[in-house]
Amino acid sequence: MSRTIALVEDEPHIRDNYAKWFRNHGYEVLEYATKNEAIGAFANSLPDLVILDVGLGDEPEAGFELCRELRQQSKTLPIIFLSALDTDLDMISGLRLGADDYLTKEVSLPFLQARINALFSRVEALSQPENKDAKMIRGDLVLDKERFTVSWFDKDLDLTLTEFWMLYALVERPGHVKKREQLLKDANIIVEDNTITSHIKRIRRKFEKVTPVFEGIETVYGIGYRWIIK
Amino acid sequence: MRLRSKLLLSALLLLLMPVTTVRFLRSMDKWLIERERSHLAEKVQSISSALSPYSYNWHSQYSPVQATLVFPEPFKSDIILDAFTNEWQTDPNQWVSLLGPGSKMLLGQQNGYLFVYIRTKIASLTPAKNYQYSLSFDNLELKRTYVIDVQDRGNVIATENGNIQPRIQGFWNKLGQFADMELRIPVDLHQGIFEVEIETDGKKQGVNSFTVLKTNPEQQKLMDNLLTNEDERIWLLGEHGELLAKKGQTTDDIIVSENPLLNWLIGTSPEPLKEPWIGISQFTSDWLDEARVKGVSTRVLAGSNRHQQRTIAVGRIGKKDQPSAYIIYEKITGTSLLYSQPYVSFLLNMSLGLMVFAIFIFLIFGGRLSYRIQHLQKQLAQSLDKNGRVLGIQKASKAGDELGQLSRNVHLLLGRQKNYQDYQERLASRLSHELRTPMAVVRGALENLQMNVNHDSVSLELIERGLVGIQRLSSLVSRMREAARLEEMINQSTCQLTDLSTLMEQVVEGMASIWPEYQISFLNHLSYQPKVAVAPELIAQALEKLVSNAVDFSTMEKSEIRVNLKYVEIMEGDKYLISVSNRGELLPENHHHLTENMVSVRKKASQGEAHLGLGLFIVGLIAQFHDGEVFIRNRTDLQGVIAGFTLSSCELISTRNLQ
Repeated sequence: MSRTIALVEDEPHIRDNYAKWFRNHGYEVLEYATKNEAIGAFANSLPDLVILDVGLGDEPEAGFELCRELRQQSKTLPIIFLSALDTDLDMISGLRLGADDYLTKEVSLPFLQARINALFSRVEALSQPENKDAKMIRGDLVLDKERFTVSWFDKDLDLTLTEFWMLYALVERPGHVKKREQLLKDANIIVEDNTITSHIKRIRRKFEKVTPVFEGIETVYGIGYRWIIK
Repeated sequence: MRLRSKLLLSALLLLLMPVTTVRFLRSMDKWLIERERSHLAEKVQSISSALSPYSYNWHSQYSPVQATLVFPEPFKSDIILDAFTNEWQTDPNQWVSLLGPGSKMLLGQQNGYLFVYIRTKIASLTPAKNYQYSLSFDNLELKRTYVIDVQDRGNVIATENGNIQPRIQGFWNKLGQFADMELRIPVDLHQGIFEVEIETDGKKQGVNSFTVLKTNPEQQKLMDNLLTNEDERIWLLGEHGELLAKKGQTTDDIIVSENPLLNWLIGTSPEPLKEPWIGISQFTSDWLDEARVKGVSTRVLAGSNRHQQRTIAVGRIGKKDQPSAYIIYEKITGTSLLYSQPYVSFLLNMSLGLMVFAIFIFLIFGGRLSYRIQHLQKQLAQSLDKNGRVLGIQKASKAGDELGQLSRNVHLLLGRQKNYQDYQERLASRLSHELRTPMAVVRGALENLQMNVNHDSVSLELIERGLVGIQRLSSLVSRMREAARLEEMINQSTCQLTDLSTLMEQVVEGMASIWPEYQISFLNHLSYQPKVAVAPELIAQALEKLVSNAVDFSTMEKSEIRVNLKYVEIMEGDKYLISVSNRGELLPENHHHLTENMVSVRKKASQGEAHLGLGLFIVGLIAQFHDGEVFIRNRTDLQGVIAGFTLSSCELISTRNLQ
């Protein structure tokens, strides 16, 4: 049975492009142009993944509101924001509301496809029994590559998919500096270069919630970052 | 000249106010003196006419050949015979010298008595024990001599030919180094020449002869009947100018202003006037000769200081060329009198006070104006950077005056400039945002098309070309947003103490790995590891831009790009200098605007990448955050370009707010 992707986008051409692409890749696509249209449909049944635009028609923050309602309905439903807005504030707002990822509209369809696949894999892995081989352990840090979960001092960290991949790329080879480009490439994620700093900051903050003094991720100015705790 | 100094200088013009007042008063005084002079002349003329009938029997006592003329001063108060000079006028000029060591004499008159005060200095080594005073009165027909022998303190006894003369009374006393005797002699006893001889322990000191100018009762009565004011004196002179009588005491009554400011301004002395005619017994002057001929003469005589004057009017009593007497009417006049008036002092005090107050107010006002202008200038300087970019808008003044209006206008102008600047800066951001949707449409459409396997090779090539174009457009849009993003980043940046050379070394190492085809090296010209408070992320970003630019415009492969760290002393203060030099395309002459947004003047495109000229603008923003400046110029050997920026510790600009 094919997975269902709900596409909430007010620009018909973009919506159509995405819909065509996903259908060609075997997904069932539900298209909505407005918030109310989407809410009405989601009230009956939830899709397997939702792609949201932030501004819908005359409502500049309709996507955020929709995300909040969807998260209330399901804690596990993968939600991706796909927006022309790319400020830190927009991204943080989207991710705080519980979205799994925040991408700008410059993202290419193959990359978007890759993100969606990753999210589905995560969902799938969570429903499967725990696979110990998929775990990477670095001292008190445990990363589950299949479930996309992270625990630090036995406490789960609520990382987004992007954050998970970035952390994974760093932790994979402790002490090695990961250049920004490498971080993007290795993690198979689409994040604009200038937002990497924001992502790293958020990751650090999530670690600091468990251990107030966290120095695991070191900045190597001009090059990138590295994991320094073995 | 500063505004405050100009206002102070202008305020000094107010000094003309009291000066003008003084000048006016002097003119007024001159006029008053002239009036006084003519008034006195009229007065003395009427007195002369009134006294003329009485003067026919006023015989002259003048006999200059025989003895010195002495006028006994009338006393103000009653005399006590105690051999003390308390009641006497003890002006040094009034003492008459006598023969003998340190001997001198005072003469006075009151109520028909002649008072004689004789002082003899006591020799310190051999003080005399016996003192004998011989007083003789010789009227050419009869000479009567009275002898007084004294040894001890007490009343004295005068003898005439061995007989006691009880009408002559006196007191003798030794006090300190003087032996003093005070005598009272009835006026009828002294006739003609008055001779005095002092003998100590039998040693005669010599005879002293005097003509005592006595005021006869009729003259005294006439004088007493004349009315005088406090500042007036009347002198009655004999036909030879000898003093017969006088009335009025002006010397002690002269009023001098007690206002020190007034005295300083007009130059008066706070000391009272000295009596100019004290001790004088005979007047000989041209104004007396003039009165003899004309009947009346007037003069304005100098006082004891340059602002005090005495106006005198001399009247002849008797016939022309044969006067029997003269009358002098003396009045203290001059500026001092006018100035001594309380209202004049008040006027001057008021004008001076007002002037000082006005200067004070001017100074405060000038200072305030100067401060406000400087404040406005400072605000303006702080609001704009060297390129005219609005950094922030200070609060406008609420004052209702022109300066307040100017401040508000400047505030308004800066606001408009800032809005326009924001508009310009947001334009790229907005444009890029708006471009994203159509770009996404085109990209999505092309990617969908590309997915279709039924395309021929031409179609695929065209689709690929379209995707490359979209990719480049996307890259352009990203760069356009970069400057705007950086400003946000700068606002959120915090400074931390950083080892600048290590930071640069790391960054250069990173750059070298990105562009392995170039020889990127770091050269620290400092002999130490500089610990500077900087925003390391920003420094790294600036350096990345500079190196990126250097790479983009290097013409030779494997070309050397050198990153330098120096410490320089410049006008704005000591700063660190980071520079990157390459070998490659030179800057054209019109490269002065290179540090501005969206300016690129060199031809070489960076390997197919779009070059929007944002790099140096971003470096400039970062340099500005660190209180430094960006620069770019051709190398001195003209082999390439050197670009860089100066920076100083963020601590100095920690409160800086780049809006």
